Amino acid sequence: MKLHELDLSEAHMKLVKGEISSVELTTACLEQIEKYDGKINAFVTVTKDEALEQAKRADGLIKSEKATYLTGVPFAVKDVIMTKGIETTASSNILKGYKASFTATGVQKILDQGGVLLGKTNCDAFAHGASTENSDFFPTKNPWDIERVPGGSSGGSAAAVAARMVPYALGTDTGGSIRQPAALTNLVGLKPTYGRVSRYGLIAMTSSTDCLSVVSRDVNDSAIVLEAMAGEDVHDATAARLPVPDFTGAVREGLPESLRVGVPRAFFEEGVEKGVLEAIEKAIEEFEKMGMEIIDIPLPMAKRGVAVYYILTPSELSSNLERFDGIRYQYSAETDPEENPQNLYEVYTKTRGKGFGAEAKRRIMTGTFALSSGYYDAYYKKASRVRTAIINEFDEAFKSVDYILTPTSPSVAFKIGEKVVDPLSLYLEDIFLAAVSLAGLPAVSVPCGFASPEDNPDVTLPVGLQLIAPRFGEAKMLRVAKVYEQITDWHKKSPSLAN
Amino acid sequence: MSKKISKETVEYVAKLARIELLDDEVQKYSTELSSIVDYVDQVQSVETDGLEPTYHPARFENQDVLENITREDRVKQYSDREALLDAAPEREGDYIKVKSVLT
Repeated sequence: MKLHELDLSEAHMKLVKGEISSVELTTACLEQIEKYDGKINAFVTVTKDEALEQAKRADGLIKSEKATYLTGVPFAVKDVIMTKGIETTASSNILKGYKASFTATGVQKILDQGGVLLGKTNCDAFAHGASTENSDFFPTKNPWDIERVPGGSSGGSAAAVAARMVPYALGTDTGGSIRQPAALTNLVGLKPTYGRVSRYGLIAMTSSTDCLSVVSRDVNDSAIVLEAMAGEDVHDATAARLPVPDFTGAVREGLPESLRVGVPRAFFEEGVEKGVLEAIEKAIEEFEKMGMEIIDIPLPMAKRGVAVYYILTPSELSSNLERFDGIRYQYSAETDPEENPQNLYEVYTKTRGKGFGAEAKRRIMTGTFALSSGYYDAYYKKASRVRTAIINEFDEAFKSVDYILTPTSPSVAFKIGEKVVDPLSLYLEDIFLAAVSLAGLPAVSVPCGFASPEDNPDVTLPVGLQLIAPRFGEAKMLRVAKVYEQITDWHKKSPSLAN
Repeated sequence: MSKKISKETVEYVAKLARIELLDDEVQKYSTELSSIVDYVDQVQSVETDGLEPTYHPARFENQDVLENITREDRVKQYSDREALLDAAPEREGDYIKVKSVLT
């Protein structure tokens, strides 16, 4: 096996046994990026020199037997996450050239353990999207079929891991942005409970659902990274003051005693591709064989998740993105030779009119509308009440089941350009994911087979299933996911591009 | 489809959000925002009597994990003041330069 093909746990074993060095491993990953990223476009910034420096230091740590799982292993970070001194643009024109003035807590914890940062990955600008086509720079391609999207908004992170450029990558999941790209690229995508991981250093989109998340090759690796990133933080009052469980140890323990899986079939009987449904039904059979009890549950409110999400998200982000005003950060109409703002008002409007891409503007205006006088009660407040109904419904369901299983995405990877023309059709990509985010629950997407897209019966593409757990129930959820992964091995398939 | 968001509404909202739009953008966003609002309007049909709005999902049964966290009110030197100032497009010495606010 080539070095860049190693997953996190495999790389760790070889590093601590002295079979390879971090410099060798990092070099192999950088070579893979150089070879294929012209085709995939997963990265917006590659920090080659810094990475090799970090790798040298990591080799020192390993030699002095101070290595943790993450020491010396390369990782990549979605460009919406702050990395001090490194260009951090959220894949947006308005922040092009901006160098972050501090590092996100979750990233810092990995760097403190000797993790090697390879660079920043492409995403939908400000994480607004489900295909990475809303990046202001370029779309990222799916390594399984470069005519198709890798999902989004953490599409660059997923594509980089799928193309074996890096063993794992960080992303954010606000309404499905790590789970959906993981599903579309045959990877594991873990969104923790809201509050499990600090949000400090995430360029804020929806503060009440933003979650630092991880995409990796298997369940073990996601557990390791979650354990490293989790915990309270003086910089984030919503980061829970709870002890961090031994997730890494937990996944080795096999099935937990809680075995009831709720399947809300009524939720996904419509609007899901036939091939995806077949893969999910097959997975449910596998769960039964594992000894899990399958219980059909109603989940009528969850269907409203996308509608609620696309009121609350634009509302929150319209406020969060106010700070990009042409005065504090990077792009300004005032210094743009093509613009000639006459007063402060025009500095704002011209900076934001030119600096924001179409989806950011669409969302800011939708949110401004939902919060505006006369509409606040009918949209923002009403949606916040329906959110309560969604949370209550999940809490009620978890009285009779321990996990809930759904497809991650209603379809396999779609063609670039196919959905971006109709913003609403892209929003519906999050149909099984948004409600989970609104309720702050942890969820993981794991590979569960391959299916043909409806436009081409001759190819097959990855399908993911989503496992949802009660708040702070990541450990048990990951144990179940791990057992399923072991008996199916879907996650071991890799795209031919990387071979 | 009914146009819930007229061109005038788009212009008004864009002004509130301090975004300059070109004429063809106004037309485009009127159509797109109308279809988005049409979709999200389904929340109106949900019965929510007696339900308080949720602004935050950090609520935990039997766990008092969300509480006010306070710290001593003490001035600390920020380690990288230059980086913050440098991020501003227009800077003069230790000041961020802004067009006049009061005219």
